[in-house]
Amino acid sequence: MIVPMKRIRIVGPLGATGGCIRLLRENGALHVVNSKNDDLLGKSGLNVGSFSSETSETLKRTESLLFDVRTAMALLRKSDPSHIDLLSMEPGEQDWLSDSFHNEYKPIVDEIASTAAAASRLNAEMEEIRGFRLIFEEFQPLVEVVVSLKGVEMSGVFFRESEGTAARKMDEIEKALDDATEGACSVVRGKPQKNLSSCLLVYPFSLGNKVQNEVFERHAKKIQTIHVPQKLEKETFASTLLNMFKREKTVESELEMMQEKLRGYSVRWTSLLGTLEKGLKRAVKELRLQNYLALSEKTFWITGWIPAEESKNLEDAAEMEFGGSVIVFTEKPSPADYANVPVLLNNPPWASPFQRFLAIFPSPVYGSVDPTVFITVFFPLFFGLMLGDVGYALILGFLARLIHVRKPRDPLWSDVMAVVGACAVTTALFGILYGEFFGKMWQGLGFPAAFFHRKEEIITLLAVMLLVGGLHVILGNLIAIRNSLYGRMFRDALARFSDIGFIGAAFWIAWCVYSEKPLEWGGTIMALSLAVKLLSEGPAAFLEVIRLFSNVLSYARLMAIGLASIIFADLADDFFLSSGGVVIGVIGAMIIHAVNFVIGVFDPAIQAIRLHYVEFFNQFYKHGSVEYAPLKAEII
Amino acid sequence: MEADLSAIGVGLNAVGIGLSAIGAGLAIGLSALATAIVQAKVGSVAVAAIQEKRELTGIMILLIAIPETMVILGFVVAVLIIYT
Repeated sequence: MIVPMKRIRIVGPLGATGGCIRLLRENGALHVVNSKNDDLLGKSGLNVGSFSSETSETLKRTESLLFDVRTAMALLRKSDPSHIDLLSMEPGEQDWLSDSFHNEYKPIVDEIASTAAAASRLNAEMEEIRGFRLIFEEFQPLVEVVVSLKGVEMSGVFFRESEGTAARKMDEIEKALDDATEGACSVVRGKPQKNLSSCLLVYPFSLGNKVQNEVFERHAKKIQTIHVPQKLEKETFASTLLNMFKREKTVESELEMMQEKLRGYSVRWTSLLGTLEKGLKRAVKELRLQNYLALSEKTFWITGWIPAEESKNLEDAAEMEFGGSVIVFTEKPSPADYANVPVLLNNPPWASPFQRFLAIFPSPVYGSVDPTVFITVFFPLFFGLMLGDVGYALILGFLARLIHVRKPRDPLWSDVMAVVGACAVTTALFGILYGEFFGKMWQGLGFPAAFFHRKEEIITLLAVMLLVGGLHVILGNLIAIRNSLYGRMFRDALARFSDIGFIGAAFWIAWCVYSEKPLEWGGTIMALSLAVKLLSEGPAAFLEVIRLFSNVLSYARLMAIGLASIIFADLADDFFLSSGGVVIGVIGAMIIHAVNFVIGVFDPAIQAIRLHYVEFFNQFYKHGSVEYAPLKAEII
Repeated sequence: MEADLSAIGVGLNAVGIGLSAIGAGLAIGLSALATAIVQAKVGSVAVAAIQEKRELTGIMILLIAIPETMVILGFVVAVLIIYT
């Protein structure tokens, strides 16, 4: 259920602003909104959300420090993932916004950031050097010789091809160079690696341009040139390569030093950074809150939303604290406000465990319907329809009991236990109706199916599931009609009404065809529904009709998954019956039943919730509301 | 003569059964193939998304389940062919 809300406006003398904010934190029920969105304020002459430039600067600086603290924490975590700090303290009282605080801690986060950046640069350099070493290690003796010779240069070339293709290309280039330089250039080939072949071109300085033209321009498409990083270029290619190899050892030891430094910072400062993060977060929240207030020279104004049942408490608390100098005005929201009203869901204890299924969705818009109760009824129903086996229900019941014993106080596990328990009940119920106990053991024990046996009455099963689906979709449309009438959208309500007519007429026609009776009113209702839909939605109505039928057909999955489950369960029973040895038969049957149970729990759960999220919610669910986040005192 | 007609009838029946089986196999096989292709793409994107933001796990599992409609309806068709 969506909790009814009231808009609150609090007006009082400027001097009482701090006291009022403290009162609101203690009350813990008001969701404060930016007063500039309050249209009543426009007539008051108050300045809305105006920070002084000094306060803006303080907020910017504090947010920047908070960002730096979080970055430093992430960098330290990355450098020392095994270090888990459990000692981060609660912030306590501090002047988080002062210059002295800022000047004390900013150098620490800057130091961490600069050390991490240096380590990152060294790492990148190391990777680069290792890349070159991979290609040129075998050429090192030649490189050393070339460096010692004056007037000789070399260039590196490599081919990312198979050995044969690379060899052929090297032949072409060698021939081209021979012709161009009259044999003055040498090509030294490296040992081919997997899809990587390299060679060095060694030539006099004076022929550099010819080599450039012949190899790197005319044959550019055939080769890839190796360029040393410009920042490392010393003199020639050869001397740069050698310097890079020499630098490798230095880079390695520098990198080790930086990483050791970061590990030291992690041990020393993780706790402090955790405390800083909490305190700065709170300080930024406080500062931002001030921007939501409207202020004049003598007055403050706060706007917000509060659960209707809490508004009287707030009014009484303000009266007691300020003796009438601070006034609290309340009013109900109008439909025009619904998109901005924060939403709080509150459901009875038997439905609240299923509220978790809405956690991955944005909350429904205020003024619409909270679907939790419907999920509470239909999720276990669909689950039971699909799994439908007394034996599996007993296992589910046992699991629910186990959760209750092992995790009695954990709220998450309590909700899981409630959901599993409800699913166990419906699974047992449908197991009796289908006559299934670990597959066909129910019939083996001599009991008949109370309703019908799934594997023998497939058409009946399909018809029942589609009927359930049709009713579910009709329910969604009824909720949509309610929402539309509430929001005075009569055209939309008419379109939804025609959808109900379509589904009803379709089932009636199917029933008449199956039982070979005349169609009577079925065709007429369908034609009328189409006419109403065209009137309310225009040509898009045809697409909507297709969507409607595909939504209902989607419930055929209840039949498909259920049938797959019983086929698999019967397979386990057949294995037991046909096996020669009792032990092997029992073990084999248990394994197959275990696999079927695991699939039978996860798949129906996912498909049942998917039917709600897509086929059901598509009919009426409107989201995009604001989450209810009241101003509360931090617990220390 | 009657025996010949009866044998032809049995033969045609067997052909019909065989074709039905092929049809059922195609119904589930092709739809399973389509589901697998789509779920592979959705699954790989979901893994990357979950790695960046853990809170997307629930909705990603749901998005992976949505293409299963194809194979489920293919299964329904296959079962209807075989059992009716």
